[in-house]
Amino acid sequence: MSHHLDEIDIKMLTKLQKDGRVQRNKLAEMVDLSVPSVSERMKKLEERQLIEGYYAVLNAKAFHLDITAFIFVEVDNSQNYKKFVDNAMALSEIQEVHSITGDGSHVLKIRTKNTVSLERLLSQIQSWDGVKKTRSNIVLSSFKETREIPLTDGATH
Amino acid sequence: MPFFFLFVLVTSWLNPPDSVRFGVLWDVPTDAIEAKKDISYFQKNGYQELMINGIVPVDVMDLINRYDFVVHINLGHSFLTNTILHNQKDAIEAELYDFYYYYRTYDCIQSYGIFTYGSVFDESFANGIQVLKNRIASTVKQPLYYIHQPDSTDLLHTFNFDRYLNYSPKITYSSSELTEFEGLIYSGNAELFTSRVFQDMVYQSNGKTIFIPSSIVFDEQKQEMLNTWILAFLKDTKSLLELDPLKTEQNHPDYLVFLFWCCVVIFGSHYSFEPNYRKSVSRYFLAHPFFSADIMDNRVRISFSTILAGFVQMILAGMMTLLFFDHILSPLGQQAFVHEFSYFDYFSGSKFGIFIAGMVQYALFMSVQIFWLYFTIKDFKSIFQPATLLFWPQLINLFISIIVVNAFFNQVSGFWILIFSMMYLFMVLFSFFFALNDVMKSGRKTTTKDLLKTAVPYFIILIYSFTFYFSNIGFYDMLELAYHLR
Repeated sequence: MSHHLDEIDIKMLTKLQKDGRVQRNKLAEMVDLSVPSVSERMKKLEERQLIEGYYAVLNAKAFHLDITAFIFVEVDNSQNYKKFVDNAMALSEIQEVHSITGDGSHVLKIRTKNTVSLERLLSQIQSWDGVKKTRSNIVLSSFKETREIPLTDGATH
Repeated sequence: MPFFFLFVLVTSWLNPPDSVRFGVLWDVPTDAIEAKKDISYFQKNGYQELMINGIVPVDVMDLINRYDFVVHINLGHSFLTNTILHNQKDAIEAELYDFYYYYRTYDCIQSYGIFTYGSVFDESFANGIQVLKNRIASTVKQPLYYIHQPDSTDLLHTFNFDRYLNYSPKITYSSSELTEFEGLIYSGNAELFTSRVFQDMVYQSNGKTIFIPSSIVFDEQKQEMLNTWILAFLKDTKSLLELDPLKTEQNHPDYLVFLFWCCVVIFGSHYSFEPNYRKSVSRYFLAHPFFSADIMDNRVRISFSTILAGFVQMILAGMMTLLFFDHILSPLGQQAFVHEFSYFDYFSGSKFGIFIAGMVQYALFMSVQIFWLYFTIKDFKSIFQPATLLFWPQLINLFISIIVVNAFFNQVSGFWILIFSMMYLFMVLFSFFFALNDVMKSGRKTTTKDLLKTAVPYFIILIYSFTFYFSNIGFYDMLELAYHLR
């Protein structure tokens, strides 16, 4: 299946990455197409799973989730990896789970209320099978946090 | 022998402890086989406790647990100030949890160390630690400890031998408050670790554990003697060792005298052999209007003298920086300062490095001033004109340095050294204004408008810099901690 993107797709995707709620007539105006054409293109992009979804980005601070941390986890045996990932996926405080190279086997990005809830979370993670150790790095300040990906002409094939 | 009698006389004031315990501040090898060798050695030679930094591999930890040692874990934070504690309290707490959950299954863990050297004299720091302790209390049940130098009210200072000890900081921990003295750690270098130091530590340990760094435990020259000493005291705590002669850490910067004399000789010989220089110096101080007119009209060309004066001032700046650092801060204090302000690392924290840093800093500062004046004042035809105007008032610094160096070597109160150092700094910073004053009086093309390009922005920069440093609490916190580390 070819996923070639033309210039119009890239313009639309760039705009949608910045503002997922942009009205279709505005999008049409931006790319000099009719509203039905834009709708058709968007539908195709969604079907091809180039657009995975549209989400609201919530203000974590307003919800008193004051602590963001990256937890490097060392899981001792690859047999435990799947179970570890399943456990991590089930916890709402864990926002991202990545399998990594280097120090540790996985890195988790978490958001939680305070150090008390962080301690509870660490205790939970440590109780999972195969977890040998954790190293928590607390975020002091964040300068960029985005899900935007860089798009260029012919970005996909 | 006299030292032996003196020691016996003085130690008679202290009662020997009823029991004695030895431990190792262990730099754990990553290889389990090597670690096993170390552990067997410790056990064989009477060490009962281990203090280790950070996370130790599971296989090594399993091994330690089997050998029945008491273990103290250290988070490894060094030089913790109130500002750092405040900014990183959540991170430190999370780190403690990481450590706790990693080590919780090992029965041998007795306590967790939060920091080595911190602002324990600062009440808000102590409160911060208390808050941290309260927050983790429900999870981490083991006592917490910190490592610090003994203060003047401690037992250690009742025995006034600390001048050669670079003395062992204390390890304190308690589940209720962080004040209980729990042991000694030797913190000096291997060379100074003599039988005298060892026996002194035993007598002052009050039965608490004495930790010796593994670098000394495995030091080929000390190893055998140390094992004999430990054995002697484990058998009988009243043992008296044959004491080594008193050794003190040499801290006589003789090269300061050499450099200082270099400056005096350069100045003196040039003053004697170069009539123009002699004339211009005496005119600067005794007939100032003639001096500034000579320079502004470019009538007296003393470029070589200017270069030489700049060079002498550079050496003086290096010397004064070194002297200031050496006098105000102890080697440990300097280490704390370099730890926080890592750009000092470029100068490797050595004495020569600090000297070079002072020289380079001065050279850069003066270059900026010289070029600034040269490019903004139209009267100047040569770069040596502003340089001369800037360096000549700083000749006074040669005399200020004489006072400071003498005060330093005669161990005059730090207050006077500080006052004269401030005078020195004042002359360096304000020579720009003195030079501008000469320019304004004798420059033909210079108007008051030129002050907007020179004096005004310079003054603003000075005020900004002072405000920046004086309002930087983190900077002051570290300076205070560095000052307290003796």
